[in-house]
Parts: sequence; C-alpha cells; structure tokens
Amino acid sequence: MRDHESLVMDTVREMVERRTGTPATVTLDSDMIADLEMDSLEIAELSAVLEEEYGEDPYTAGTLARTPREVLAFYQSASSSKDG
Amino acid sequence: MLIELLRASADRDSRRALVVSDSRTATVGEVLARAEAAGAELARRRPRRLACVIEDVASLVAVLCGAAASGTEVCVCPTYFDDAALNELLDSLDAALVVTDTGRRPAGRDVVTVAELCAPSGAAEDSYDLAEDPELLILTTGTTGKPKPTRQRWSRLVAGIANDPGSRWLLTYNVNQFAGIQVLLHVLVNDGTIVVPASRRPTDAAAAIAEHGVTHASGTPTFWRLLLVDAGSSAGIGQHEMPLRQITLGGEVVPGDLLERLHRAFPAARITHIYAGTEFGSAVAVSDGLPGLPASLLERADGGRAQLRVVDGELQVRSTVGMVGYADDDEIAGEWFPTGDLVEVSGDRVMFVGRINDRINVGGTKVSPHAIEAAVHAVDGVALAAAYGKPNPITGSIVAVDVVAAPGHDPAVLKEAIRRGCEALPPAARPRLIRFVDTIEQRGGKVVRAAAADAGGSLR
Repeated sequence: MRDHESLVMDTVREMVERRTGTPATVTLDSDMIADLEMDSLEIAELSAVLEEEYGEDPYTAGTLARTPREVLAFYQSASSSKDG
Repeated sequence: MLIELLRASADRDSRRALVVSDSRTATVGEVLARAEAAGAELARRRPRRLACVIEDVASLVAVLCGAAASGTEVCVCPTYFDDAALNELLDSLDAALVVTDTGRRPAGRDVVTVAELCAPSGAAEDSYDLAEDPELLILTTGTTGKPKPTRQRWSRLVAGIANDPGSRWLLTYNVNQFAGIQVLLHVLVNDGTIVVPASRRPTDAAAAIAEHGVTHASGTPTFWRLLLVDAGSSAGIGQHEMPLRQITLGGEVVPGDLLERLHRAFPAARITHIYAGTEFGSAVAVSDGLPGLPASLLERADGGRAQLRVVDGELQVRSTVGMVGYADDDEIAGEWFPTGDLVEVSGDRVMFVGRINDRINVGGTKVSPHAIEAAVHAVDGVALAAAYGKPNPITGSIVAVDVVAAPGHDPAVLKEAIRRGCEALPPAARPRLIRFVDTIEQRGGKVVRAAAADAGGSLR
C-alpha cells in the first residue's frame, strides 16, 4: 500500500497536469476546487482512486475535503479511531 | 426432423466423423445408434419434460436427436449451474426426468445417466412414431440478468441454416446455448463435423483449427479478440496454417477495428457478423466487412427471416425463426420483440450504441460502455477490455475499465496510452479507473460487465 501523502499528492498533480498539459504545483493546502480548478469528475476520480487503494475515502464517508491536507486528516482520524 | 437429418446423413456415409476432439471421434453412425436408443426409451417413459445436464458433445447430440424424434420436450441446461441454480431451474420447468453424464443427482427427481438412456436396445427406427415438430427449451445466456428459458421449435431453427456442404465447425460455445445449437444444426444440415477444442482458451482453439482442418468458426467478438492476441504470440496461431474459410461473429457488438484485424489475419476467409438473439433467432447476417447493419433492412416489408424497426432508439425484431415464447408463457410468434439494443441510423448503416440497461449514469450524463470499450480496444497492447460504472459519492457513478494486457506490454505505459486513446470521448465517458486484470469473466463467450464491476482488480 502506498504512503497516503505521496498517493494523494501524485494523484492530484497527475489529474491537473493531464487537464492542463503543463507541470502543476500542488501543496498540502492547495484548494483543489478554487486553486486547482478540479471539477466534480476529477474529485470523483480522486475519491475512486483513494477508495480503491485504501478501502475507504473521505468523500464516501461524507466529508468534502477541499485540500490534500484535509484528505490526509481523514485518514489520520480514521487511523486514530481504530487505534483507540 | 432432427433424427431424419442424422438418418439421411448416415445413409450417405455412416462412418463420417460427426464430433471430433483430441481424444475421441464419434461417427454419424455411432451417434445415430445412440439417438435411436434414446428415442425408443423416451417414447416408452414419456416424461413431460426432459432436462439435459450433459457435458459430452456427442452424447448431447444423441439425446437431443432422440428426444426430438420421440416428441419429448427437452431443456438443455448449462452444466456450469451450481446445485441451487440447477434445482431452481428444474423446479420452474417442472422437469420430470433429468439425463446427465456429470454424476450429479438433483434431489427429488428421476435421474437417468446418458449411458442408460442411450444403451443399445436393438431399437429399430420404426419402433416409435416420429414427432412432427417438437419443441425444446434454450436458456438465454444471462449476461445482463438471470438466464430465462425460451421455447423453440426445431423447424424454425433449421429454417435459418444456410447450405454449406462438408463444413468443419469449431465449437467455441456450449451446445446448451443458442449459438451452440446453431453450430450443431449447421453440421447436421450440411453433413459437417463439429470440432471440440481441448478448452476455450485461444491457444487450444487455434491448435484445434489447425490440427482438425476447421473450415468454419463462429465466436463472440471477445473470443476473436483473444484469438488475435494469440496470433501475435510465438505459441499461437502464427505457428499454424489456418484453413478457415468462414469466420462468424455474434452475441456482442462487432466493432469495425475487429473486422479489419480479422481480415488482415485471415485474408482468405469470409467474415460475417450475425445479429441474433436467443429470443428472436438468427435474424440478419452481414458479410460486407463493415460494422453495423445495412439501413435498407429497416425498409423491408417482407424481410424473409426477420423484419427490423427502430422505436425510440431501440431496435425491434419480428422474426420467423425466433422463439415460440418464454417457457410456459403464451405464444408470441409474429409480434415485434424489443431487443434492448440501442441503435443510431448513420447514413446507410444502423450502428449499435449500447444496451438499454447497461448505460452508465455519470453525474446525469448517460454513457455507453460500448463506446468506451471501442476506444480502449483500439489501443495497441489491449487484448480485452470491459467498461462499467463504479458507484461514486460525487457523481453517482464513474467509468472504470478492466483491461487484459497483451503479452509484452507494460501496464504503466499502456495505461497512459489508454488515457490518450480516450481523450476524444466526452469527459464523463473517459475511464477514471483503469485496472489491469488477468482475465475478464465471460458467460457464453460474452464479457459479463456486472462481474467486472463486482471484482476487485489491481490498480496500477
């Protein structure tokens, strides 16, 4: 299983670059909708890729994560609740 | 009528091979003797319905001919059914007698083995009265739902068979499905031979074609795609001289790229695609090398085997070679049958765009898996692909595609090529998940998209 941060960052970067055709700068705090202009199909794709890799994803769980950091927070929170 | 074909064939040459496999050859005379024995025994027992759960092709031919001769309505049951599915089917059919060579003994029913039913009894062909036009039940393949039993008449099925004497047919289907019955009838009508490959894997099919002099082969587009991949490998059909004269495709949408690839691989063979269904029979055969059907077929007032029309984008067929009705339902002969196939008339062709019930709803946009698969199949290195909808919290569904890569192709490179190959599709139709898998489940030779959706392929 890939490290959460590298999978999230790589997936988001690849999707933006595929659409724009130019190298993209993505940070943990990039707003995927406002800054990176990802549309609903791209958010849907991110959700599907995360669900496929980890068996769960924030969007299916009802959290509309707007930044990579918010996506990672979902997994950290899920991990702590399992540990607890 | 079936046994009369066999008797006439035996009169011409009883030692001719009727069913050939690597391990065994059954002659016309042998199969006829077993069929006469089965006919006499069934005439004595008089079951209301006979259910066949038979794997051996020569045995199934003998039992079908014997049942038809004695007027026994027979249902050819898929041997892959598990006990629960088989019992449910037998209950629904009220089958009084089961004949099998599988060792299975469905509880609460009279069971007879093939060996017992077809045992030589010295029965002469005049030991019972021949039935006039008996019926049989064939199940739909059930790629989009539960298989449904259809009631057919042998006379209608035979009416759709073309004359082509001496043909040697490769059996890529089960004889218990409509397309397999078609192959059987082609062989019985034309003094032909059925060649049974060791398995349905393309390598075995290619070997059987070469070793047993197969002249005719009928398969789904999925079968032919996999055979072409085999053609490109060192162990495959590239190693053999292919005697094929006739290539037939049916059961799934036949795209233009596949017709072209087949023509390049088998330039001497005539390539025909059949528009057929278990319910409406073998309606149309097209051999002009183009995908889709000629639009002129829509204007035929008296269409011979079948008339076609388009209603709200759906192709409808009124057929003289189709089923009488579903199992115990009323006769529907002469009525228009809604096929569930969505079409568009483009110039002088009727093009298939999908099935009514397999469209994927991506955020309110309905997309056809066929269009997606056509784009993916056009990518070099893709052996087989199945597109389907994967549930998604944002858009309801997104498009996923399972891909079997041809040997020697790197999945990471192929994935990018597939993405580029799908750029011309509308955004909602572009595959968002591309999964590489070893196999894609098939039923009756057709890809089962629902199974692909349920399976967990590996994401790379």
